[in-house]
Amino acid sequence: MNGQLVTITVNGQEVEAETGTGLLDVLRGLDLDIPTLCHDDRLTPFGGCRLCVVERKDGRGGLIPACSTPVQRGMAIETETDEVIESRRRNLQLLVLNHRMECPVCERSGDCRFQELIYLYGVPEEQLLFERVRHPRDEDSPVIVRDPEKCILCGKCVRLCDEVQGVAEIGLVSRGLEAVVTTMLDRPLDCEFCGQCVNACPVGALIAKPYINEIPAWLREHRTTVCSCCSCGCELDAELYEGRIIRVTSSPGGGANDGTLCAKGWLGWDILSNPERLTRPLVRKDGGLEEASWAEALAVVADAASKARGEGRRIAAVATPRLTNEDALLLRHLVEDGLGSDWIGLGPEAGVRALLEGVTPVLGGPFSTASLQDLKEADLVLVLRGDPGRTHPLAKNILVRRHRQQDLPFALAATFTGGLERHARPFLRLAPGTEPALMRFLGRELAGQGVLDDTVEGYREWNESLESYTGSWAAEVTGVPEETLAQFAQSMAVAQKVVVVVVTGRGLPGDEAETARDAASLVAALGAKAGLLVLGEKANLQGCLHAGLAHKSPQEMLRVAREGDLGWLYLVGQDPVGAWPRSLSVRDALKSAPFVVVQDAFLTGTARLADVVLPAAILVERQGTGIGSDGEIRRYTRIVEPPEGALQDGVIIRGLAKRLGIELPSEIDTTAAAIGLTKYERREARLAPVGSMNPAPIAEGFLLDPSPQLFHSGSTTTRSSLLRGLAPGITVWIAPADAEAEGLCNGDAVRLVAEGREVLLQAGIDRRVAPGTVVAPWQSRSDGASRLIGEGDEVVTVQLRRS
Amino acid sequence: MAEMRNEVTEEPAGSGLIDAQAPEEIDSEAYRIVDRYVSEQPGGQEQLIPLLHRVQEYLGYLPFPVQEYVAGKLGLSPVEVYAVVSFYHFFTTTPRGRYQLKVCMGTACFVNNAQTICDVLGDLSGIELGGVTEDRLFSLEQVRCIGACGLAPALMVNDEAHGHLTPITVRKIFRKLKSAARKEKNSAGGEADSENKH
Repeated sequence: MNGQLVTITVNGQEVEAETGTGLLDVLRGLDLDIPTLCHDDRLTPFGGCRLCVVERKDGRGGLIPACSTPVQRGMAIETETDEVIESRRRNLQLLVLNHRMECPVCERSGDCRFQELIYLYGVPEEQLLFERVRHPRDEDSPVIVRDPEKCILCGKCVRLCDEVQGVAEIGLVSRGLEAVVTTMLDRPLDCEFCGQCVNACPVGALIAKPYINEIPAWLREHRTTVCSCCSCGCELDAELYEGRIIRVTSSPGGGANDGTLCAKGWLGWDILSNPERLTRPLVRKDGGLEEASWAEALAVVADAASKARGEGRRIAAVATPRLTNEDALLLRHLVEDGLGSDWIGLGPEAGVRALLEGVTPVLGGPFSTASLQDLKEADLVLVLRGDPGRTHPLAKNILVRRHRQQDLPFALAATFTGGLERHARPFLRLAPGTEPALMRFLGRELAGQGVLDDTVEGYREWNESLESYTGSWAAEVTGVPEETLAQFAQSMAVAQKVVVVVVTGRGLPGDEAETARDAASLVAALGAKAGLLVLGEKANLQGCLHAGLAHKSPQEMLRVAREGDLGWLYLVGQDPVGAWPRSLSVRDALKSAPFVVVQDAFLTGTARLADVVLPAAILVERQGTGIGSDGEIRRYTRIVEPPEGALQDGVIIRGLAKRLGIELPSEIDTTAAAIGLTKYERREARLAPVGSMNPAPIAEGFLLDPSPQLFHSGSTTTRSSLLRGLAPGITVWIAPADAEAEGLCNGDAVRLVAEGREVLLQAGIDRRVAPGTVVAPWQSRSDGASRLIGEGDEVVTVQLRRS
Repeated sequence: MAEMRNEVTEEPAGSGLIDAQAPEEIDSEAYRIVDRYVSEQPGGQEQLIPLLHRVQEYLGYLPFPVQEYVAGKLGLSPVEVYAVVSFYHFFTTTPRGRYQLKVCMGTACFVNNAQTICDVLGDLSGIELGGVTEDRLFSLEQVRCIGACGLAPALMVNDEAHGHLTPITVRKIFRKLKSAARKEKNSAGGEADSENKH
């Protein structure tokens, strides 16, 4: 009988509490300081350290662990009796016995829960007589040092890795005094390097190599901000010393991420101090780019803009969806109101296409209708196109927790996966690019069962256009057995609340806009019980769309540039030469534009072609707000000053406006209402008949999975030498069975051949690779397997030749 | 497309796994036992321990490649399986012999010179305590009281108890086992030969 409000007695006072809730939560809610070492609110109760013991005085019990005891009617609890204190002290003593005490030189000294508790409770001086169990330190992994002799076996790292991260790279091996947290066969860590384990470690048994330094905890400045590497918008706790980041963690219960991070948000901060950062504006003089003062550079840019206007040529701006809301709105004011041009756009990012070309025609605006919170609560979740663990780690954490802690299934339908398939029920491994086939089959099947809302505008035509998408057709196209498809359709038909997630990102095969459109149509037809969540890739995609930056498509921009109609092009944080599809022939277009300004942190391929380059602040050097892919507003706080000479985008835009004599609003209103309604109004859903679908035949060979983005996404984050080091670009990962069939061993040199091109890589055999697929991490365009991949989203099949 | 699905693969992948620790060949029947068990038994990860029992019953131990194979089949990570194997004393990752010689070291046996029995078996087999002969025929270990104190000093050979041992009876038992194994091997070899002829 859980959930009943009952009265319990705590330290002589009567308190109301719900039966079934954790006693620890209730006690902590009363501001009682109950010590724990193994407890984490994100994990299922463990009851390992026994420091949370309290005394039960209502006739039953004696000492009970508060963390794993549910509230029961009539409980009487004492939290500070002599027996309780003595028990905690004894338990601490037992832990100390097998803990290498080197506090004076320990990395965590001053920031160690164990140290605090020993200080607080005092550990009896007499020691039991036995030797500490010796275990070697593991320093083999590129970023994490494991020191089992300091480990107190609280198991938090092991449980986070399993219950939250879904990886279970480490486990509690052996028993008793010999017990140790380690990997399979003590191999070096080969995981996602998310840092969950390190950040949760209450002692110094897990340490991040890049964050080892001599600055004691009490000299560090603590600042909280939001990561803008991707659209998850995770809260970061940064520790600074003399203005530099020396450690990054995250606190449970803080932001949407609840204390979880990924490799990028945890470690990627060496980008900020990359020596290649631009610190002076560059102006083209006599054919070469030369350093100039801000005043000079802005004057050149402003003059060029005035000249272009005078000549009646177009003024255009293309921005990155990483701009803060404020900076995005300033840019729009500058270009639209100030310079009188509506040629403003975002790049060809997959998330932009999915939302603008996919969702907007159906749902009326580039919005998701479901949030990350809905992922926790919906009774059916279908994740399409990709493994969010690679592109949106926070969404993946939510899905794993859903499965591991609440036993609620989620479905994954994708071609390339990075480990989440292990938790998906069902997992539908689709043939590349066949997500629309699945959507259309589901639409037809659910319509047949009469569970769709036929009052949606255009329903009849849409439904008629689905006629040919039968189960047997879908099974043939997607490669998933018809029976599995039918079962899944059935579970969707009976579900009370459905969320369909469309993952976007580099290297995912298939057309994201088509998938998003078909998914949006299905969601619209399912009516109020369903929601759509499009996970865009860049931090503030949602905000930049709301700010109305996606007015013209990159294709249109480049077309007018090629036609010579573009007089002045302002690229804010965009690197078309380096990051846009080759098919857009960016280089030619830029050469035809008489004046190009690039605003970026690095001298990108595009910046090298520019007439003026303006150095910009990035990531946590910026101040402002953004909107995460969950639709919630995030507040980016500047915790690090940009390198001297670099300025935040909005400051540069204001400087430019001043030169041009344009009045910009002094305050930008970024309240939810103001941002949400700047450009788009929500309207009723409208269905349209689906287009034809003729999946191209896939060539014989292994599907090449460019495994993008877990460690870096190919733009800013590739500038982190640390993150690049985690994703070895020279290796091609092969499934064990395939390696055996091809006669390949670990470390063999292997040639990957595709359509006449070939690259030489080192073979790595990995059980996590799906048979029939090879994984070659995408680096930059000119490296490794990337040379076989044209744009990153087409399907490449390769032959393996032993070299 | 067929090979892309993550359904039961025909070919056990275990032998191709990285870092296959044991250099020796693992009887591929072990992988088939896993496949059969997983396809026959409903349920998921809770099948781990019974499945490990089944495999160890057959192989006598749990080689790491098989543990990884089991992990893959049950949707666990390898270290989760390894953690369970390392926790329970019953499971072992070192090969045991066809005949597991377990010398009782309980009090009654101990005072009745169990150590001598142990030494004689060590001399006969040429292995140390905890070891296994190269041909995997014998493994030798000491165990706690087997509850046959009246027979002290006692020895278990697999599930069979032998008591009132002296160095002479121990030698007899050992020779008997050896010749039984030889006969078994010959007849098995004959079968294999006749199979090859087909």
